[in-house]
This record gives sequence, structure tokens and C-alpha cells, in this order.
Amino acid sequence: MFAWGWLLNGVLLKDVYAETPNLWRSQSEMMSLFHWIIIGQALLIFSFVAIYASGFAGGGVMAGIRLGIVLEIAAIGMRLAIYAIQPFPGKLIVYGSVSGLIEMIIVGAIVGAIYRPSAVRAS
Amino acid sequence: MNASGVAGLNNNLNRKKLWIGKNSSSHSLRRLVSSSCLDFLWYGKLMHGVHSEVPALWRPEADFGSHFSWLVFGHIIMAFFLTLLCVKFVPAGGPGPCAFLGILVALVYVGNDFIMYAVQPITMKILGGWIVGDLIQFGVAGAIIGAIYKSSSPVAH
Repeated sequence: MFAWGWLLNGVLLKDVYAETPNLWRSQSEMMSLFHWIIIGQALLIFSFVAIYASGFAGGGVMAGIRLGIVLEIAAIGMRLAIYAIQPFPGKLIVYGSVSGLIEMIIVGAIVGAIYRPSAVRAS
Repeated sequence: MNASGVAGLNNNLNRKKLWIGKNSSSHSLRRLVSSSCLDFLWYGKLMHGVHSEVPALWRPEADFGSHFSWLVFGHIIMAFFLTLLCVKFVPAGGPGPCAFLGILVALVYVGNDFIMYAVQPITMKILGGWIVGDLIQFGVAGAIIGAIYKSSSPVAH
């Protein structure tokens, strides 16, 4: 997730972000707040696993992917709401949503493949 | 099972699907109304002063007006998919379990808020407001969906 975020936002979409420099922190400022990115991603994964464990566990990879898709589509809703209040370029919302969908499908597949409900673990 | 039995079963399944679809839409609509009211109160009124500390980050009033439909559309999507998760997750409904699910979903967005804080020049007060707003909004929305769903769901009876 971290590697994907770096590749997408730090490399592929660099020019798109550069169109609205006043909306972003400077490079050095971002680096000094880097731990917030780590905490944010950890919290995101923790909540994803918590949701999966309490309602989708046992469904395997497909259940994880389904949950990832549902959560990401809801996140696209949030992104559209933010687009209404912040002057982001429209293409940033499109690229962000497509990449978010890919990311959450991968996260869902990994969580679904790794997670085993306690009853299954015990047997 | 004979052909008429299969047809009957299919018919029942179709009716059930239709029922779930209609109810999801109705619950989504109620969630949408409550969420929009909370949003207006929390972000539009209570956090207005905090947001104005960094005016460069927001669209001007007129520009916001012309993009308002995106805000509504975004809320419709969130309302529909939170309802879908509640229906799938807590089939028996109930405000408590659905509010808990809402809070878990809010935590996904709180994670995103942390990341936004690292990359956008928002203040700590704005970050705090967004976190509290997400938790309240999704917790309350989940509770409302759970309460409505429980009272009208045949699964619960």
C-alpha cells in the first residue's frame, strides 16, 4: 500500500499535483510530517481488517475484494464531496479513484488470503 | 424440485431482491438526509471559522455553488454503500451494531484524514474537526440505518 502510494502520488501524478501547488505542503514539510502518513495507513488497514473480521471473515479472497470495492466506492463518494469544496483538478479525482480501487482490491485480496477466523485457526 | 417449484423459488428470490433494493434505497435516502444535516451543521456552521484560517484551500463561495451537485452526489454514494454494508453486515439490524460498523468505516476515513494532514497545509484544529466529524457522522448514520432497518426488516421479526 505504501509502495503503491509512493509510486502513484510521488512519481506518476507528480505533474498533476504540480498544477495546484498552493493546495499542498512543501516537500520538506511533508517529510517532517511523514509519520502521519504511516499512522494514517496503519489505521486504514486496521479498520479494514476489523470490518473484515467482524462481518466478512471466512469468505476468503473474494470476500476481501468485495469489501475493498464497497469501501472504495464509498471513499469515491467522499472524494467527490471533497472535490466540491477544494479546487482539485478533476483528473486528480479520476486518477485517485481508479488507483484507490486497484489499491483496495489488492488490500482486500491480501487480507482475505491471510486472515483466518479463530474457529478455522483452532481446527 | 419440479419446474413450477423452481419458478416459484426464483420468483421469491426476485421479490426478495426487489425488497432489499427498495429498502436499501429508502434507508439510504434517510441516511442521506441525516448525514447532509449533520454535515451542514458540523462543517458548514461549527467549523466555518476554523476552515477560514486557510482560505486558499477552499473553493470561493460562487465556485462552491457551481460544484454543489458533486457534494450531493458524493453523499448519495456514501449513503448507499454504508447502507449496503449494514444490510450485508448486520442482517438483523439494530442501532448499536450498525453504529459500531459506522464507526469502523469512519476509522478508514480518519486514516485518510491523517494522510491529508501530512500532505495538505491544514491546521491541527481542522484535522481534529474532520476526525470528530467523521466519527459522529458515520456513527449516527449507522445508528439511524440500524434503527430503521430493524423496525422494517422481516429478518428481524
